[in-house]
Amino acid sequence: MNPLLPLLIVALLVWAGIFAFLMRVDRQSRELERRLEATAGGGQRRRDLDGGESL
Amino acid sequence: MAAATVGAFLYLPPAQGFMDPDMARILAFHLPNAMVVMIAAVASGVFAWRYLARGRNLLDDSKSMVAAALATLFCLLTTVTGMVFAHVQWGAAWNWDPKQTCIFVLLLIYTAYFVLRAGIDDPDRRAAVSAVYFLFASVMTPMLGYLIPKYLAPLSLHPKQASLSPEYHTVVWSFTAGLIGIYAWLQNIGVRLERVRLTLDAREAEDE
Repeated sequence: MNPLLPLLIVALLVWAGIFAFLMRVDRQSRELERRLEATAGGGQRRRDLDGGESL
Repeated sequence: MAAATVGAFLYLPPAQGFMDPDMARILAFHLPNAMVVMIAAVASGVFAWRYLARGRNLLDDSKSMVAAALATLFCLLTTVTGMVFAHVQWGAAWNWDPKQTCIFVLLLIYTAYFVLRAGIDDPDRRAAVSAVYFLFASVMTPMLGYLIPKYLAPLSLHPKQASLSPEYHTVVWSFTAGLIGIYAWLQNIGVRLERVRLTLDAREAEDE
């Protein structure tokens, strides 16, 4: 067995953890933005902030 | 990233001419981090310039701040991976090598940016001062990250002519592409949260 294999598995698990965390934060931030826009005036304020431009 | 990680462990041959040839694999992660620092710092500088030149939109200031925070994060990762490598290769994690000294100064410059921001309460003044400061920081990044260490190369412990095999180039560029993707993702999340914060701030100001 390649002696680096256990280290590779640890590295892949760390990456999987990082991606899972980022996906969770990404989903939560989208939800937060959606809820804010759903409240009165949120969407208009966002357009004001963007100055008519997208990211 | 998974493919690049597998490549770093299983595809890369041990690098010749290193104290611990297996440990040289960390270079495949160290170098891409340094490249992402450059990209994030330049992006932050561009947003800072946009803030100053195009309408003083606070969202441009937020984009600049998020990019600066990510530049600091990737700069820390570059420093830590470099220290791990230095510990194995040169016997001490910190040697005040020109590259290490330059990255230390760069970290100080980035830290000062956040201290500066924290010290100004008025959002418009904070944004203007921060934008001017980070324009300076974004110019200093390639200077301290590349030009000055290159000029001081004779004094450096770093290899003068890297003799890494072609496999290293493939893995380093794969990691770089993946890390740029992660940087873009983090930037997007950060700007989204900043936009929410600015919207709430505007709503609070209207309520008062």
